[in-house]
Amino acid sequence: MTTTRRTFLKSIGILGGGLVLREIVPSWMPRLSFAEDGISGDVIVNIFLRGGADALNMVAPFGDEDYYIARPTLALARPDSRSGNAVLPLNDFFGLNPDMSALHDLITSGHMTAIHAVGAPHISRSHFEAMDLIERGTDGHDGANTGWLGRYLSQTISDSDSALRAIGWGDSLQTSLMGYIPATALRSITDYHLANEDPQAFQMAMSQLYQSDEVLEQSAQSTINTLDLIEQIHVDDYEPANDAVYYETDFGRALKQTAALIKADAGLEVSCIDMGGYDTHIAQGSTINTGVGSFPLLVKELADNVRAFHDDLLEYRDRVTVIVMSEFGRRVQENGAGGTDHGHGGVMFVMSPDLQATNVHGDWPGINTRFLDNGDLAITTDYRDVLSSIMLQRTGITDVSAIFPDYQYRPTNLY
Amino acid sequence: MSSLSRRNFLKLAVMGAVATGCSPIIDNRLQTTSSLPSDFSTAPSNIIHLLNRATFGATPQLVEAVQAQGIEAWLDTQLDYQSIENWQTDLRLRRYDTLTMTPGDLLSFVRLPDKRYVANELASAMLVRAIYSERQLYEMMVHFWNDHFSIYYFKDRTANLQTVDDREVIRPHALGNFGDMLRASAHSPAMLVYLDNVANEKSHPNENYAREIMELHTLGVDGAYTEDDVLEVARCFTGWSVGENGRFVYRSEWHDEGEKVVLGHVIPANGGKSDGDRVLDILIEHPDTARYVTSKLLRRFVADDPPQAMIDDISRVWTNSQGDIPTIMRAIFQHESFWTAPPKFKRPLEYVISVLRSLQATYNGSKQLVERLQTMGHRPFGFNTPDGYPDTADEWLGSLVPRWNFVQDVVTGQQAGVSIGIQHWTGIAQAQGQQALANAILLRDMTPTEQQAIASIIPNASNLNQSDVRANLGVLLSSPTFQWR
Repeated sequence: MTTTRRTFLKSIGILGGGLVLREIVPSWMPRLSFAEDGISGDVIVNIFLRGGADALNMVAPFGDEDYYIARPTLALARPDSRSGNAVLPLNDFFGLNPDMSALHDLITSGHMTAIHAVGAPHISRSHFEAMDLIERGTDGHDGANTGWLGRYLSQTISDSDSALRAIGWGDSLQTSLMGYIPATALRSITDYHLANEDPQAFQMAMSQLYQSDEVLEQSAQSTINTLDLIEQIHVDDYEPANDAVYYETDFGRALKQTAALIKADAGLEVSCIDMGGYDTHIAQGSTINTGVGSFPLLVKELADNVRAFHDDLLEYRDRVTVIVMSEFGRRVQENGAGGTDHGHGGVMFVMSPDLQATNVHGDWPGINTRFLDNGDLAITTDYRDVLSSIMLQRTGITDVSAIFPDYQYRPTNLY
Repeated sequence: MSSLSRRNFLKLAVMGAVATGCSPIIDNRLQTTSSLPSDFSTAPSNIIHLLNRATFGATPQLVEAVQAQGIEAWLDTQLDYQSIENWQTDLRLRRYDTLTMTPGDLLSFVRLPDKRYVANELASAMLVRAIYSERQLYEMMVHFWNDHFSIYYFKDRTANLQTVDDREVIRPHALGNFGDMLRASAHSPAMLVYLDNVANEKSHPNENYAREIMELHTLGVDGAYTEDDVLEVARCFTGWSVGENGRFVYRSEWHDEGEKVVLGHVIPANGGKSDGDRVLDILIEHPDTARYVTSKLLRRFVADDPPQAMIDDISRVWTNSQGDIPTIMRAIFQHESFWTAPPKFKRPLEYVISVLRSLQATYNGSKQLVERLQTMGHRPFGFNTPDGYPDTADEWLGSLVPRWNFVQDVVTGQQAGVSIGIQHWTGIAQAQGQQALANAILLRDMTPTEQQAIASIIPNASNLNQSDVRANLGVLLSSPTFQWR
C-alpha cells in the first residue's frame, strides 16, 4: 500500500473531519489533491547522463581479463584487491565503482538493477544524433518528431489537470518530453516565479487580460496554475525524510524538488533530469581515492543523490521508478590522454518496485577485441526493451507501439 | 510581375474589412480605424498588418514612414534592399571581427577555451541586425532561410564555420534566386559538416545530407522521392567534402563513378563532381520544390495553415519566375489571403526583438541576450535538428513565464546588454497619459479590459513616476495582444 498524502490524511482521520489541516501537514506541503485514488502508474524519473557515460567504470567487468588489458591505468581493481580502487562486487563478474557505494545495497537487495551492454542499434557516435534519436525513441530521422515520454504522456492524458504532470529540469525541455505541450521546463521550482515586485497583482492582471484571447487563454491559465501551485509548495522549507541529504547542485536540487512534488501529490507523473559532464576524453580518473579526475566525482554525485532520493521516498517507493541512462558508452580501450573516446554499448540503472532480484541484467558480449563493435562494447539489449518493460509493467500502458513506433518489443526479465 | 495597382489594393481592402469580422484579435488591431480607409495603401491597420509580417516589429515611427511612402513604394524599396542605406547597423557590427574572417582563421578559434566565441558573435550580430537594420524585410528573409537551411551551431566545426554559411550562402541569396542559394548551400562547409557529407565516401556512402536536401530543403517529406533516390543522391555527392582549411573540397578518389538514377533521370557514369551539380539542377526544377518551399514561406509570412489556393497561386509564381525570391515575396504580399490572414504567434526570438524595437531599447551587442534567448528555447542557430525551429503556434505555447520575466527584466533595467530610456517614457506618460504608452506599444488605444488591468497595478494614474511607467510598459508588453504579430 502506498502512502499518499491523501491516504495519510485519511489514516489519521482528517479528511471529512473539517479540522484545520495546516497544524498537522508539514508547512511546505500544500493542500492539493491531484492524485485521486484512481491514479495508476508510477512516477517516472528519467535521469540522463549527458556526454556518454563510461559504463565500464561504473559497472566494471572485473571478471573479464580483457578489461585490464584495455584499461591499464583506468581499470577498477578486483574486489579482493587491497588497492583503494577495488570495485564493490555485484556478482562474481561485475563490480560497482566504489564511489557509487551509496547504491550498492540497493542493487544487492533487489530495489535497483543495472543493465549492461545496452544501447541503441543505430551506430551514431555523435552525441547530438545519438541523444536525439534515443530521446525521440526512434532509429532514424524518419521516425517520430516528438519525444518518447511526450508520447507516453499524450497517450495517458487522464483526468489529471495538474499543471505539473511533466517537468524537464533545465533551461529548455528535454527532447524526450517534446510533443506534450503542458510539459514545463524548470531550472528549479524556486526559479519558476514571476520577477515582478508584486507577482500576485501582475498575475491577476495577466489572468484578466488573457481571458480575452481564445488561443492563449488556456496556456495562460495553466501557466498561472503552475505558478500558484509552486507558490504553495514551499520547497525552501522542505525537509527530506529519513535523514536523506541531497547535494546543493542542479542535479541534487532537481531530485529533491521532484521528491517534494511527489509527496505533495502535485500530480507529477514524469520528471526528466539531466546530469552533464560525462564526455570524459581527457584525465577521466579512476576513483576519488586513487587520483585526480572528473568521472569519480560525477558518479559519486549521481549515486549519493539517487540514494538520498530513495531514502527520502522510502514510504513512496512502490510508486516511483527511476531510470538512469546515457546516449552511449565509451570506447573500451582507454586513450592516450587518460580518458576514453565515444563508444557504443553502455549501462542503464533502473530503480523500480517488484524487480527480479538480479544485480546485473543483460548478456555480456565480451570485450576481447574480436567481440567489439568497431572498438566498442557491442549491444545486446536495446534501450527500448528496458523502457518498454517499465512502461508495460509500471504505468498501465498495454502497448508500446505508439511510444516506440519503429521498434518491435522484445520482453526482458527485469520484472 | 508589376507592383499592385492602387485599384486592386482598394478592392482587397473591402474584402479584408469583411473577413476580419471573424477574428477578435484583428478586430482589436483595427480599432484605430473607425471606418473603411479611403486609401488602402496608407491605412494604418493595413500598414500594421504588413509590418507585423514583413519586419521584426512595427513601431509608430515605421508606421508613419510607410504611411508617407505608401505600402507599394515601401515594399518596392524593401525588396530592392541594397538601395537602402544601412551604415548605422554596419557600424554596430564592426565589433564582431569574426564576421569577415576566412574559414581557416575561424577554425583557429577552436583552440580557444570559449568554444562559443565565434558562434556568439554570429548570434549577437543576428540580433543587432534584426533590431536595427533598415533592411527589415531582407533580415526577415535571412531569418527564414537560416531556419530553412538550419544548421545547429554546436556540432563539430559548425560552431566556427556557420559564420561562413550565413555570410556566403544565406545573406547573398536571401532575396535572390532559390536555386543559387541551394547550390551555395550544397557547397557550404558548415552544411557538409553538419549533415555528415564530409565523410561521404564511395565505400560507405553517408545518406544524411542526401536525405535532408530532399526532405527538408527541396521536395519536402511528402515529395516524390524514394529510399532508392536517397541512396543514389548520396552516391552523387560522394567526395563533396571539406578541407583542413575549412573550405569546400571535391575528393575525386572518394567519388563513386558508376551510373546513378535520380528521380528517374539517368546520370551517366564518370560524371565526377558534376553528378552532384546535376542533382541540384533536378531538385531546383522539380515542381515539388516549388510547392514545398512555397508552403513554408507562407507558413512564416501568412498563417500557420496557409490556404491551399494561396499555396497553388504562389507555387505558380515560383515556377514562372524560376524561384526568383523578390517576385515570389511580392506576390505573397499582393495576395488577398495575405491581407485577411489571422495573426501569427510570435516565437520567442520574434517576441524579444519586437519588445526591444517597441521600447526603442539599446542593445549593446553582448552575448547575454543570446544566452537569454537560449533559456527561452530560441537561441539563434540553436535548433539541434536540421528541420529548423518550428513555425506554428502550438509548438510555442506554454512559454509565457519566460516572456513575462524577460519583459520585466528589460523594463526594470535588469537584462544585461539592454537598456531603455526610462526618462523618455516617463516624460511621455506624464505629458500625454497612459493612453500614449499604449499607442506607442500596441499601436492602438487600450481596451477597457486593458485599462482595468493596468489600473489594478497602478492605482494612481494622475502622478506617474518612473516605477509606475516601468510597470505600465511591462503589462502592455506582457499582454496577449503583444504576443501576436
